[in-house]
Amino acid sequence: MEHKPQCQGVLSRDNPGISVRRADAAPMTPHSHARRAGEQSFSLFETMIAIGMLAVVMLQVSSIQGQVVYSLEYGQNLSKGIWLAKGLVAKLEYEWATRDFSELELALVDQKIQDPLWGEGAASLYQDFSYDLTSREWKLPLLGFLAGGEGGAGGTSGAGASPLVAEQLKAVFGDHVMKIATVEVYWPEGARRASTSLSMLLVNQKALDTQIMTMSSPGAAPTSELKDQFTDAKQDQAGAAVVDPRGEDDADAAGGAPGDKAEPATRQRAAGAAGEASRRGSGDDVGDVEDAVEDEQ
Amino acid sequence: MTWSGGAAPARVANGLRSGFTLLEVIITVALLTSLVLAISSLMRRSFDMQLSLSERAQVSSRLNVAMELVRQDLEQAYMLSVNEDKVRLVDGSTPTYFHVDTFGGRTTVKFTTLHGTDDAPQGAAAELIEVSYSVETSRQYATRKALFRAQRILGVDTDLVLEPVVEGIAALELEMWNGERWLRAWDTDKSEFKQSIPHLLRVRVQAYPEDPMVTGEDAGSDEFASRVGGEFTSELLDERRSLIYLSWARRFTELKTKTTTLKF
Repeated sequence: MEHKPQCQGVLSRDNPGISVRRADAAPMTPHSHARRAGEQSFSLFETMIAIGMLAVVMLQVSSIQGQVVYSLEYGQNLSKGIWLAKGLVAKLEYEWATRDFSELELALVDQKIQDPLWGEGAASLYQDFSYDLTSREWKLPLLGFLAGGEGGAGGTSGAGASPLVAEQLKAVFGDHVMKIATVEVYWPEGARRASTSLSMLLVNQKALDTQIMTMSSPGAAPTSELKDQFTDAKQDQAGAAVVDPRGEDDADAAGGAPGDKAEPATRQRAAGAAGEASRRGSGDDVGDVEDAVEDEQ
Repeated sequence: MTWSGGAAPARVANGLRSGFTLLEVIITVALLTSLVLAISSLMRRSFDMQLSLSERAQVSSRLNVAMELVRQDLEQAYMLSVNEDKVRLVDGSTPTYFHVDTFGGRTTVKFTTLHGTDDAPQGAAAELIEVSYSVETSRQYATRKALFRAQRILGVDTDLVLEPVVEGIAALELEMWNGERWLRAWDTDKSEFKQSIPHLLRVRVQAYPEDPMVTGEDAGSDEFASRVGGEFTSELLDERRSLIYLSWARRFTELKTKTTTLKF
């Protein structure tokens, strides 16, 4: 720190306050002989500035350290939260695969992590964590338009393409076509709440798969023979999926109306993941049914 | 604060040569000492904190890596269906499997996965990969464990050699949901599992709270072992938990169908 001789603080019995005087001012009286001639010192002002700067630096340093600690703590909680959210999405996928699509209307708010689902000790380990899980109907605007009605969340109204499309959609999917599920996991971070969230779009795949499998060639109703083969195949698999690995047992799925024979969406996904061999792998009774349908075409 | 000594060490007042008084020197030395002590203490704590934070970040990172590895493989777990995949069966039985076994606190996981590699050299079976996970003693630190992983193409006559993939992992636990309750073991060779894979798994990965990297220290020494190799209780271990949905399991019905028992 630079030593400035121009000013100096004077504290005397007569003047209990502190004054700042220039060094070249008149000499001090004997009563105020706190300083000897030629002696110089820091003024109070300088001292306060110095202490202030020091305090600012110290606070800054400690603030950075605190910030680092906070960031790490936040990162760890975020990591835990993300894995919990992924787990909840997995659980939702499981529900999607094993329940009827109409049952997936969920509105779970401020739920705690429970041992039965997450394992022993989870409740205490994640006691600060809570989550919201909502799943609700989601109207695809395009579908709304095609169906000739209101167009989804945006409310796009107007004349649709055809009421026939609406009827077909209704026949295949019923009242549940798509749902959007949102998982938000949150935890306290000091006075505020930190959170992470994941969203997932669910399609009534079960109804679609069932519909596709019961479809025949355009304009032709499925023959009773094909139906029987289809039923036999499903029984052989003890209710398991009938076409591809992503297919679902349709024990509780609604039957579908005859229509076009199309490549199942699930099969496309399976093909993408597994390649041609996966298609070959599914060649059994069900494959025979499909072959028969193709022959009929 | 007053610096009564001024800048010059030698001062002349009233014809006498004057210097710092003893009191001034003592106070100055005391102030300097306390300042140095405070700063060094601050710096030491800062370094300790940096090390500690670095270790914790490292542990967290390892947990995430281990979880992600296990999740990615398990999500691809695949079983050939006796009914659906007759073309690919070997002597009428499926070469695929899903084994999870927990014995003496040690979990061994072995399963087959499906990968979409059309150009694999082994034909139709080449896309089926055998994957194995196990938590074994680390090769770097004898007193620590690590997550090991092995893989090979199904049907290829090579050894399934475990290689360490994540150091510092203390435990890997898997539990499989059979539709009614969580099981700690799953063996598709047993008739009760009907050659099917579970729909839902819960996975728990635990890691040591300290990083085992100790520079210049003999990892095999007793001192090292006593310092970092002690048995960590479960409360001390850092961990991550999650659930994994096995999408290929949709080919199979659940062993039990009481799905309503599993609440969120």
